[in-house]
Amino acid sequence: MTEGEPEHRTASDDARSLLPVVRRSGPRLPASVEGPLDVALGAAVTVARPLVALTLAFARTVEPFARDTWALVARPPLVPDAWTPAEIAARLADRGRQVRFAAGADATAATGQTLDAMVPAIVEPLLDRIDVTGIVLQRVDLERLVEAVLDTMDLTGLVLERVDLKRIVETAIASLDLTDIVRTQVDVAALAEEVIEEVNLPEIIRESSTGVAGEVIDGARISAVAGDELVNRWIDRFLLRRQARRTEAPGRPVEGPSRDSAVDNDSEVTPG
Amino acid sequence: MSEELPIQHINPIPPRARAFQGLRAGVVSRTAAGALDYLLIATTTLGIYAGFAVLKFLVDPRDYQLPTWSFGAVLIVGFSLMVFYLAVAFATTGRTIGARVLGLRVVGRKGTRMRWSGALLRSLFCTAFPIGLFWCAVSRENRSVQDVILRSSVIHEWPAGHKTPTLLDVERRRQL
Repeated sequence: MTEGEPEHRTASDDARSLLPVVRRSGPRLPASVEGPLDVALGAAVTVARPLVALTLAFARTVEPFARDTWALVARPPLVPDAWTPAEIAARLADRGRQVRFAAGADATAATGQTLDAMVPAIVEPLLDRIDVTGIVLQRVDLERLVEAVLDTMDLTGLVLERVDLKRIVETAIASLDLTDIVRTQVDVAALAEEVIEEVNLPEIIRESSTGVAGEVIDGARISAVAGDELVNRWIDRFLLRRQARRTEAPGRPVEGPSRDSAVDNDSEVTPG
Repeated sequence: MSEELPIQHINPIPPRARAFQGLRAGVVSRTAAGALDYLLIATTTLGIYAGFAVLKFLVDPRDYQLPTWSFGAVLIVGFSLMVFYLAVAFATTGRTIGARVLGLRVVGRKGTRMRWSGALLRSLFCTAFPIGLFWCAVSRENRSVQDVILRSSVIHEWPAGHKTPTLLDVERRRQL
């Protein structure tokens, strides 16, 4: 990341930037050594290049002769096969190879054993002396690390697959007093009123408590009221009245029996 | 918890009857209520006569004869009963039995229950001059002669009937 680059970075960028970055610039030597060294190297290269080219050209020229000569020397005519230098060399090579393989296996085993013994002995005291957690906390951008890890994980799927959600929910519910929570957190009265409003409970109670006799009496009262209006209309028509009757009584209608207990102190009647 | 619940009174009056609650009643309703009351008083007077006859029989069974009441005596008993019954009804609930059946109530000048003196005066007036009721058919304000003079009113006020359950009642019942 260089300066001036846009700040928005994708998850894959973050993941890539987690990889260790190798420094490009090599180690620098002291200037007093670097100068002469470079001169020497330049001189060596200047001289060596033609020499190498010449040598290669010579070798290419000589190679067919050398090959034929070696073939003649390796398998001279009139010498039994077993005694030819080539055969002897092959046998020696076989033997040497066997020895090399055996020694290599031994060396590998020995190295493994040595490392098994040495690495714990070195690393454990080393780790004892280093606060790895502190270093990680100090040097590692844990937030970015966790974000990058979470980006690569299907956490929901993992939880669904590995967690016994039923048990967790059951335990949580068992440890909670749901009734108390509802009582304290929910406005039960308002809720009940809303429900009553919705289902028109008063009307249901009224209808269910009226009964058949109540229905008959209600009907009789309504009929009487209708009769009142009919008679009033006839008489008003007969008397050529144009204005409606003023039947509003003083006070207001009371729905409950509470009014029966209220005494009208001013209802002292004055006859005449 | 239950103390915080609002007491919601449930209106027991059917919606179609709510419009005329508190208005003065007309002649048909009041006549019907009055007829019921007359019937009640007549029945009670008859009952008193029967009781008197039985008592007379128990006292002197040998020379028993049905008691013969003069019309005047019956009238006086009936009149007294009527006055007493109406006065008590007007001054206590404002409803006679007939008025209760027809959903009526007698109220005073300001729309509240009548005082005993007013109730007695009105009951005397109603019993002595029952035909005054029919003035309410003519009156612009649906008032009988008694109402005009005593400044009372007979209004539609359907009784609440038995107490309808409130939210508080429901909550209490749940807690039992």
